[in-house]
Amino acid sequence: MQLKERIRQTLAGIRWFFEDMQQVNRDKATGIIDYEIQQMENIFSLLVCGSFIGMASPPVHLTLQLLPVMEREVIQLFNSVTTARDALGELSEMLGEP
Amino acid sequence: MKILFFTGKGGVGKSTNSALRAVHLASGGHRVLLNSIDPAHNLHDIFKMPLSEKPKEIAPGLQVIETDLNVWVKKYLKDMEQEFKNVYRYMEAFNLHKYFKILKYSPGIEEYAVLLAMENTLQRYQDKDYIIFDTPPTALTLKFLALPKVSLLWLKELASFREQILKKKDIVAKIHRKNAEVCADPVLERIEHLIQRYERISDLLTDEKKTSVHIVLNNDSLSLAESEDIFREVTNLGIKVTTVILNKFNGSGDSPKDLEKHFKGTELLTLPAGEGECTGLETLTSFPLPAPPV
Ligand SMILES: Nc1ncnc2c1ncn2[C@@H]1O[C@H](COP(=O)(O)OP(=O)(O)OP(=O)(O)O)[C@@H](O)[C@H]1O
Ligand SMILES: [Mg+2]
Repeated sequence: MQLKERIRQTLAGIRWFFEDMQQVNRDKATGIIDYEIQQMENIFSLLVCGSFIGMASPPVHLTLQLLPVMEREVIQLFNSVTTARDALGELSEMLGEP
Repeated sequence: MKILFFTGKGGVGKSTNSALRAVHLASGGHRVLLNSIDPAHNLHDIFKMPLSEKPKEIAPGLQVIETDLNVWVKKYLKDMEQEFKNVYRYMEAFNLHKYFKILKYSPGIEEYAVLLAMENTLQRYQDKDYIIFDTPPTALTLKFLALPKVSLLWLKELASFREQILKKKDIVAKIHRKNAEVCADPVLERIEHLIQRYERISDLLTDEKKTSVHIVLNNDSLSLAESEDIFREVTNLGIKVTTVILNKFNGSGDSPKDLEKHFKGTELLTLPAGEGECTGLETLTSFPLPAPPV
């Protein structure tokens, strides 16, 4: 009885280990896409806010109507301003060790 | 419901002609709303009585409004400010209020206010047979007429870009086996909502059974040049110019027939110069409508 329980626990532990490994691999695989998504979102925010920062831009009323639903993107854009100097570093960190 | 816009260079007789048309349609038994969306109103001078946002019944079947664009700018900015405050609450330090105060002078706000005012009029007075707009100066009129189309161009670009982002997010979600519970994207939802809104306005403006533009001009080269600009721009937007009215015509200058070739596909009408002031309901009622040249 005790032995059976021990085996079950061990097997579960092994399963967790492999699931963890898979998750790590998945994270690695999606890391690049995540990064790309983030950059695309930043470009999207810049497009919407164009008139505020002097780029070709949609009419102001569109900017004003879209910004209230873009809280996350705007914060992300502000944050990325602080890391913008080290984009390469950010990228290699995400890709992990070769 | 039919929508008529009277346009033309300053002082050519837009207000007079829109009032004249309104008076005649109403006396023909139609329900008519005449709305001045020109910030420099002169319908009150033409009808010789104070006018405001509140429709005034001037004759049976004829209501007249002078839209206060400042009210619309203020209302719009206040709504937006409230929405921003709800979302970016932690940005109090940012002093949004001051920022919105400045926005009122931002380019593009004025034509948006005209569009809002127009949208509101069309929605509120659906029971009318005719809604006639006395328009602001040419530059502003062309901008606000173009706004739905320009907005749509941008919105469609933004929508397709947003969809690309969402597609990528979907891939990531699938790799993580998050059983792809496709959660709604508020940004795309708002974009689509706006697309619907501007498509509705744009469809209405470009439906020649419903909307027509009438250009008023005098027999001089400056008002002709500006009228040609209006004709070209409005036609490019897909909005129908139905008539060109040669106002205060006294038989001198270019023959009306010569003018016709500048405005292909429209009907050229002339209106003689009246003796004395062309104001007051009685004068307008007895004044003839523009007619084809003889
Ligand atoms: N057919 C006409 N006969 C006589 N007077 C006219 C005629 N049409 C317009 N007027 C007069 O010309 C002047 C300008 O007309 P009106 O105010 O209608 O022009 P408008 O295009 O609306 O000007 P604004 O650009 O300032 O709004 C007015 O004094 C008006 O009474
Ligand atoms: Mg006028």
